[in-house]
Amino acid sequence: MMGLSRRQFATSLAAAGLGLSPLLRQAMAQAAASPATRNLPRTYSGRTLRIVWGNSPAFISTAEFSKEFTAASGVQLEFSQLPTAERYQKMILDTSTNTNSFDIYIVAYQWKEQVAPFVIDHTGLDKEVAGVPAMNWDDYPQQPLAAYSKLGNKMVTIPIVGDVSFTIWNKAAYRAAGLDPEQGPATWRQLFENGQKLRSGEQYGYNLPAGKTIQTACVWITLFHSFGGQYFDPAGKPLLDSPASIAAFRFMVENLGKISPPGNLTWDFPEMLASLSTAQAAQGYMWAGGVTALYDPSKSKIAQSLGYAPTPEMTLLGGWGVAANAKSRNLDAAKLFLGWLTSPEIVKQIGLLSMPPTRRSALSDPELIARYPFLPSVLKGMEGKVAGYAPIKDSEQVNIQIYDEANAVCSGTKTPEQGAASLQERVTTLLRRRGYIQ
Amino acid sequence: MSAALAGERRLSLRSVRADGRPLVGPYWFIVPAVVMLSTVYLGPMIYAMMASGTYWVLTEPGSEHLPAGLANYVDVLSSPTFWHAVRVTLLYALTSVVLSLTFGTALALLLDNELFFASMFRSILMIPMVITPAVIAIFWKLLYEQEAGVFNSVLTGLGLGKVAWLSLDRAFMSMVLMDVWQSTPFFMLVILAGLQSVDQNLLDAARVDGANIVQRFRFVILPHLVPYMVIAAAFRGIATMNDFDKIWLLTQGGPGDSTTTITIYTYKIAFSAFDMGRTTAIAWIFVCIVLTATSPLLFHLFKTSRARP
Repeated sequence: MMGLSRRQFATSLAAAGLGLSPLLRQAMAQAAASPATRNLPRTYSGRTLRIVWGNSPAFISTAEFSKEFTAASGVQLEFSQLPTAERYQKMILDTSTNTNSFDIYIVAYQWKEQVAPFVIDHTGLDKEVAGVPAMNWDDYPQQPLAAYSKLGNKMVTIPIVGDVSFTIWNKAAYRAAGLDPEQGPATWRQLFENGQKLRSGEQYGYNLPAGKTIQTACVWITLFHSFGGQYFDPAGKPLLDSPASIAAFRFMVENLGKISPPGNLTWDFPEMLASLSTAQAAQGYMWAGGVTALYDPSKSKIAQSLGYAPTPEMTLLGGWGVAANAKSRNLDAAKLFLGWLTSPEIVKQIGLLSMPPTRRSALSDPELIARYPFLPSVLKGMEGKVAGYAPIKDSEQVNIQIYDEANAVCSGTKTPEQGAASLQERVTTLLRRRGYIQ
Repeated sequence: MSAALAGERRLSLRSVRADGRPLVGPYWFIVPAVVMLSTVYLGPMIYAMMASGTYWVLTEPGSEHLPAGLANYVDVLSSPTFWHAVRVTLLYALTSVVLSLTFGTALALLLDNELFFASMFRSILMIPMVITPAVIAIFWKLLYEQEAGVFNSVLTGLGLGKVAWLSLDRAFMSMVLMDVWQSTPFFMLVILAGLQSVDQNLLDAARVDGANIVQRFRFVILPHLVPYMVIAAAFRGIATMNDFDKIWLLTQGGPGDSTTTITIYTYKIAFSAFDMGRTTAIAWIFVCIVLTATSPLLFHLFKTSRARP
């Protein structure tokens, strides 16, 4: 049958019946044919894995794609597709209260230390469960692997999404505003000036998120580091009322806020992405996972005129890992799924579906690069000088306080100076309460 | 009431035996209820009280045993953010209850008349009360949305400018408006019940005495409705102070802290910071605040129920 195996044929038929996109159908058929899938044992058939998962397009299509795993292994998968803050809540509550209702978590690297005591060491997964493809850890770039996964000798997570912050621009809008469409902004000042030129009618110059969400903190952190900020002094005392901190708050409210759509005080990632894909904002802050979605012409008005570059002056390291709950009732099935999902062949397929890979083999794969030409920039960004979240166990708590204060400054409740002073005071209190400083 | 009936009533209410020893038998009947309430309410309350005296943070295993004394209470009570949340909560409850009571009374008076389709209108007006708060919040968020929201679409259709409904200046009133929409039917229902129990003879007598419609409302109907209003306001006041889901889904307490009520503040300490010590301290302080704020109403209810024969 034209070189198609029975499984491939059945998969394509099922995918077509479900109304899946041609891309997803193709990826699922490729996955069905790959040795990683064909060699899956049915030892755990009938088990169900509950997974804390993401809700962005890349995560949604990967969840759909994972039906291939179910078809081959008989293991059912239940994905809870949640916004970032809820993923964090679910994971902490599930592990720390010993509920253990989830088998697998998607873990942002800043949560790594908090989740480490509750998840397995993934180093030898391929030796522990039959059917798990070789982990091939050398395939990951060392810097992101250290950031996403390693804690001492333990491999807390397996990297699944490689990400750095990007600036996106609409080349058509650039052209209309008399700007060079091939040249993105090199500095934040230039980005603002471009944004002013782009601002016209219903079109805005930036997609600043100012809600009480992690995306707001990400923009602030990128600005803060671009302006020379450091989280802590050598003694561990916070430096969040520094001139760089005030400048970051000021730039958000007085520059980026002025060229961004109104109503952004509740924005999170979906609104940022929608603002770019509908061409409402002609420039914007975005992650690699979002850039892939913007290439899809069925969902993005700027698919044919997408300009991209790392964020000016400094990029922020993003990214996600996956981890199995050490107290999972289906631990071996969970290990099998994670081994399959992060195997080179499958990483390439989900990469084609818009999940930016972390494996070097996928990031330099010609087919993937042909579809997503920005991927070499992701690899370069991850291996280069990047800003990160506060380097402490309670990093997410610092992020929460950053976005609270950024929201207050952007809404006009506080001045940049008051926001910075308040952030310094809150983080100092946190560090004292958690025993980092006296 | 005849003398025999009164004597029987006195007998049934006695709490001592004929020989003067206390009568304990009836108390066994309330034991199951006491045990259940103790398990469901008292146990967690004692546990929360104990937790509020520790530095327990969910992400710090072992911290549940670190004694904090009254540090969590001092920390919360000295926090300006907490007092801001208290102000927002009280103002939110007061504004919402007053507006809902006013609109609810007006609607009840209207529906108490012999209108065509009165029962249909009554049913339609009950809809907001039966919708899940989370759905209400999503619904109102779509109404308020600045770029493509329903309200702004209507305004732009009328040639007017767009309004930032959830901006710093308007978020609080937008939140109140959403709650008023939801709770007005509750007041309407309670007051309608009150109106239907007004003694028609009194109204007829007032009419014969020459009282006009306003006077009949002011001097006959309103005094009759006051107990109904007090009960509805007490229940709704407590419920509004405990409101969480609608506010969280609409504004998440923002912009800034402009719509951060105590429940939102508590939620953030509990489920963003995972600080159980401070969370339980806030919970106890909140109990005191709600009881204090509603004490005049509760006292009035207690007094009137004791005054009844």
